[in-house]
Amino acid sequence: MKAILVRPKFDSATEHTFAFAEDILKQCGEAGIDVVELAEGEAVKDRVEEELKKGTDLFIFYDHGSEDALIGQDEKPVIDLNNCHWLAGKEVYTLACLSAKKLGAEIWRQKGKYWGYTEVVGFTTDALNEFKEAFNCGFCYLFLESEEHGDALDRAKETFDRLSMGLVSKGKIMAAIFMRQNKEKLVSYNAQGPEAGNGGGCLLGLLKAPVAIFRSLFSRRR
Amino acid sequence: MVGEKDLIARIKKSLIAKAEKDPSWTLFLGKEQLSATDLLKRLDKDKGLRKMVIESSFSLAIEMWNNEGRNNIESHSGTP
Repeated sequence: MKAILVRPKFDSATEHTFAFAEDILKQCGEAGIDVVELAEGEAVKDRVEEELKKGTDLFIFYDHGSEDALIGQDEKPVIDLNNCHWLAGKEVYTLACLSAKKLGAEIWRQKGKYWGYTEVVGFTTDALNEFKEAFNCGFCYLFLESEEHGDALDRAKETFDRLSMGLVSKGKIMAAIFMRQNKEKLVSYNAQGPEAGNGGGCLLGLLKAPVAIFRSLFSRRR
Repeated sequence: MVGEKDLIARIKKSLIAKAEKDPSWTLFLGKEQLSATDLLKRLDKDKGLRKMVIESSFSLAIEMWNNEGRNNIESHSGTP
């Protein structure tokens, strides 16, 4: 398997996530994954596209994101809705805020598989090891242990729960809260797409509609 | 009965203590970097964040009770 790992480092948050991704590099070595690392100055759109053109099976990205982009070293998108066709049919594993919302959904529509977060990701400095384990565990389940995406997601969420309970027992409640919040926003778009994770399909939408209409009328009257 | 106001008051007390004990403590929230004091102020202003912290606190409490249930089942299971 061929992989590209992109990890910018340009602020305090990325200093930490850059270090988290070090373990991913090691795991790639253990799994026999042939990985091209694009770190810091190389984590920019031109270099990323250059490597994607050569072909890859797996694209890994560690850190900042927005709803429709993964942000590189120059604080500009390395991947967005305009060039995400490069990831069509590929595996994508990210630790990036929000990016599963639109970008991940679009890559899934283009037959890709997307591991990421639908909201802002939070972590605290008193629990860096625990957050590293949480952010990286899915990679281990998917690519070292060859779990199916659904099973890997379930196991990852159990890991987040275990870690959050461990943090509670250590008195690190705020860390536990954000561990739990990250778990809620973690998604894996594979067999099931974004619609399944966003409150259900058409039938559920129809059932919820009268309640939504009633609420909107009520709020207008107040 | 303990309500949301009591919970937020307790969380704030914890953040004040954290700011004194560990001034380097930081919460990274996307591109934002918040100290315990910054977070304290944010909880007053940001209703969404406050709601999330309250809901996650309740959710953690439920998980603790679930774990107790699971642990009890595990500790009483086994071959007779």
